[in-house]
Amino acid sequence: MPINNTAAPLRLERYASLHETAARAFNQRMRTAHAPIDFLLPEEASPPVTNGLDAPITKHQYVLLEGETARGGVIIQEQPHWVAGETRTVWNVQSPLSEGIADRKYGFVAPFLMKELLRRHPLIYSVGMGSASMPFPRLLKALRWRLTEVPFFFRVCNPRRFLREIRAIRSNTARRLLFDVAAFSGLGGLGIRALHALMSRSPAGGSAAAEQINTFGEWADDVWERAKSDYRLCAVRNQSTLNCLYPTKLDRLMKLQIRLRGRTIGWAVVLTTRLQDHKYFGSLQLGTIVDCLAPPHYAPHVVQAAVSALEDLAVDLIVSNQSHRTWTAAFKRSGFLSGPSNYLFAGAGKLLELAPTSIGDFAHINRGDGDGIVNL
Amino acid sequence: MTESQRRLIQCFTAVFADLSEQQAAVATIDSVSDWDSIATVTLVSLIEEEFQIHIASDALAQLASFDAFYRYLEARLPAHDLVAAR
Repeated sequence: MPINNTAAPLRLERYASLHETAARAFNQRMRTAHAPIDFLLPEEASPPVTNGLDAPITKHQYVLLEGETARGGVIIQEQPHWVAGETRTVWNVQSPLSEGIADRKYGFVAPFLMKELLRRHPLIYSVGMGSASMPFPRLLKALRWRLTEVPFFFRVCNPRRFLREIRAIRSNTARRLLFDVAAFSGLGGLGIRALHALMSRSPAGGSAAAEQINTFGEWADDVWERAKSDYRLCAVRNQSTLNCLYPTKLDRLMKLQIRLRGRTIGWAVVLTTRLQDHKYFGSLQLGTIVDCLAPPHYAPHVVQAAVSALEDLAVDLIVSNQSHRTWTAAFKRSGFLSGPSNYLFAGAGKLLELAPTSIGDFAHINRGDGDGIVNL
Repeated sequence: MTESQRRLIQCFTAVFADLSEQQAAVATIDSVSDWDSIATVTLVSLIEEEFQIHIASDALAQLASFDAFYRYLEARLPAHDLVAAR
């Protein structure tokens, strides 16, 4: 009987140059099997990604070995988080790989990998993952991780282009015809603008102003200190971690310092993307509010200022994923509509003890977490 | 057939709904096309619950057949749980 009785024990190691040959062989097996994956193991070892010598966030590539044969791998982003009132290092799981994707005989690899990560560090989560029907989130669910959709919000800035390009909704001939009529007659635009206007309420105390910045200054520490107590789980978003997360070299990102009556109240990180034949958004100019922070009562001001900044860049559509009720309320108040989310949060171990009810009650999760920005 | 074998077959047929009891008793990862990593986790969870044991993640590589699961249980369950069913 073909049972793996003689298999060497699996072990998880930090990827190093001695693993390069095994990684290349693993990748070759995955290619040969036409494994349905978007990434492979790196074929050369490199130092951990840190964005700076004293950076508080590091990414480590791990490789899972059976003897000297690579059977899988994973990237772990080690990052300080505010967890139930104290700062703790949390692991974010990225790009998991298992030989089981190509060969069912190795179906034990992925469960071993995830159990081993949890054993090594019980403060662990993953974000993104596409949808709950994808293999990785299904595996996590089977392993009794808690999966939650991070709510998705959108606001249409250019109704005509939106109606012409939004492939997620233009799914059949009748709908395409209807949307084209709505776009060219102007009726669709009127309806969408009326809907946003109906849902929008101006923030109390006036409008905030956004200023584009290159780096986060000491003021970001002040915002963090005033905001963090609203959450039981939140990646530390102080000056040093923000400058690590959003380095100057990423020029598609726009970092905004937001002031109300001259006083800094918060910040936002936004992104513009010129899409081409995107499966959901066609060829829209997409604006994303990637990340944001402010004390709760200033959240609507921050959203409004970020929207204004993106509208100045002539985006057609603004989107965001936000988990916490502070921010979901702020986005709704700014006229955003909610839609189906393909951005998931999966938590396990001690993180679950923080979450007696819904993610909106405890965690500030958005596209700034983990590798959430990768697919934008 | 022992009582434990009967209960183990129930676990297998719960996870792999297309298997008959006879097929479950000789199932291997090669013979069951639905046996992937998610099925492995589901099966292990069900067996842990049914037999009130913890299956170490180190053991997963060996647990690739009905027979392997049964031998794993044999080594860990009290003898009276393994007697023949009446």
